[in-house]
Amino acid sequence: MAFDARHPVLERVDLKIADGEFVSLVGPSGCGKSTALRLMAGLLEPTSGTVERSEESRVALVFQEPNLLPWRTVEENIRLPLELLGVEATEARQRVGESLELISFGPADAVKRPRELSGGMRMRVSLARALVTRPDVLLLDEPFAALDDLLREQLNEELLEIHSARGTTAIFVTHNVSEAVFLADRVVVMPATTGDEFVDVPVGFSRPRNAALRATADFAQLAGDVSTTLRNSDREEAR
Amino acid sequence: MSPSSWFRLAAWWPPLLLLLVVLTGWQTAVWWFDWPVFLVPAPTDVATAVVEDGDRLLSATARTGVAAVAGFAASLLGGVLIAVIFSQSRLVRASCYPYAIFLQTVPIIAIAPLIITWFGTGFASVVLVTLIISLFPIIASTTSGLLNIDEDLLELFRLYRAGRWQVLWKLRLPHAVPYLVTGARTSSGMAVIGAIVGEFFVGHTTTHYGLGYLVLSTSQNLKTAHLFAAVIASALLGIALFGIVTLTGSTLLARWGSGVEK
Repeated sequence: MAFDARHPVLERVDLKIADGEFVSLVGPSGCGKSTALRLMAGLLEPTSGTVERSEESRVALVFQEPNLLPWRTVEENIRLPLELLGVEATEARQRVGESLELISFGPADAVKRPRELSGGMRMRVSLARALVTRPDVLLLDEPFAALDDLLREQLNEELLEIHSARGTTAIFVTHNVSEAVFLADRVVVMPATTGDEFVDVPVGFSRPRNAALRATADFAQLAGDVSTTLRNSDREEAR
Repeated sequence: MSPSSWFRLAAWWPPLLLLLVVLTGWQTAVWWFDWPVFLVPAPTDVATAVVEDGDRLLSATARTGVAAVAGFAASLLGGVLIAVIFSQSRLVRASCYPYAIFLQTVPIIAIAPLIITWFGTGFASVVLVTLIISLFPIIASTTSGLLNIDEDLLELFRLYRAGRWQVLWKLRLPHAVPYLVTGARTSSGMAVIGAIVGEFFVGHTTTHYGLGYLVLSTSQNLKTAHLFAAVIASALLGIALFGIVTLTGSTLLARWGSGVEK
């Protein structure tokens, strides 16, 4: 990514996220969603202002592509962050085991190479690799965008189960309004034009949620509202 | 028989058949036009030369083979080392890469006198020429393997505060392995050429010599059938080294999960 201080990608961003909250970030293409996520991950420094996190919070990032290392097996891929952070071997083995369980991978799957897995399986491994450090904040950059609808919905449900089991704060960037509403406690609509206001849409549905929620009128209503907000912000760009 | 071995058998037949046709045509032409043997020896003359010259051919091939393998091994080691250094600094890369290309383009005949002045004629000089000729493909392919890494993967490593060595050891080097295998294949073929050219210019005595000298002496003495035998031995040596490197490479890549994950 190339940056030019005279043409900021993001401006006047004021986003507060509570501990354990699940926030979906939606917005038109090119509005800076990925940039916002990388600022939160500490991969980018803001040209002005600050990104504040709770003390010593651990951040993990799930990318749009699974980005697995093809020469490593599933479990070796999941172990990678622990190796980089210098986590001791016995502890690492236990945590990798936990992560494998979280995505329901058996011992036979654990020794497979990425090329032997389907797209959905690779994405699960990518998720497990992010969770293995027991992050306080999980950042997800359109992780399911390349998957078909059925698989996407299934992974949405799995993600919610993991979220409720771990209580991890999650920030989920997506293009897909239905997905954003299904997952989140709050949907934040980013403006197309830098400097415009962010719009917060609270999502009141109780947890645990399951697939049936998608079929309700309330869900359709709220998804419609978010779509309208999104369209309005895009129209301002066109103006 | 498995489908793959059938496939291999099917792949062998056409070139063998072509060889047979060419050899028959050649033999017939020599007989028909009655060409003198020093100009165009018939396949049977070459076969006789191979039998007559067997011991000399074998020892020369072995000698050239050892030089080629030594030069190739030096290229692998040196090439990977240079590529690693290149991968660590844009400045080093920018300043040194043009000189690496020099290796690729310098005519050996032009620097042969220099090599002889510095290292004398003999085995060491032959290995040096082999190294000069076969080094560049390793440097070029390994460097691009070390550098051509997806930005997301670099971000992943940065997210977990990986140091320079961790990125090199756990990301760049393993990522470069398929590239290195490709470079090694090219390099192995050039190593045999390098060893023969080296012997031609800088490396032979009348008692210890390889295929390069054999090519030189047989052609000067108009022993054309023996020259053909030496050329065939050179080609077989090249194919053998290339084959071994290709086989080792594909075995390695199969274990490696090969190529780019998509």
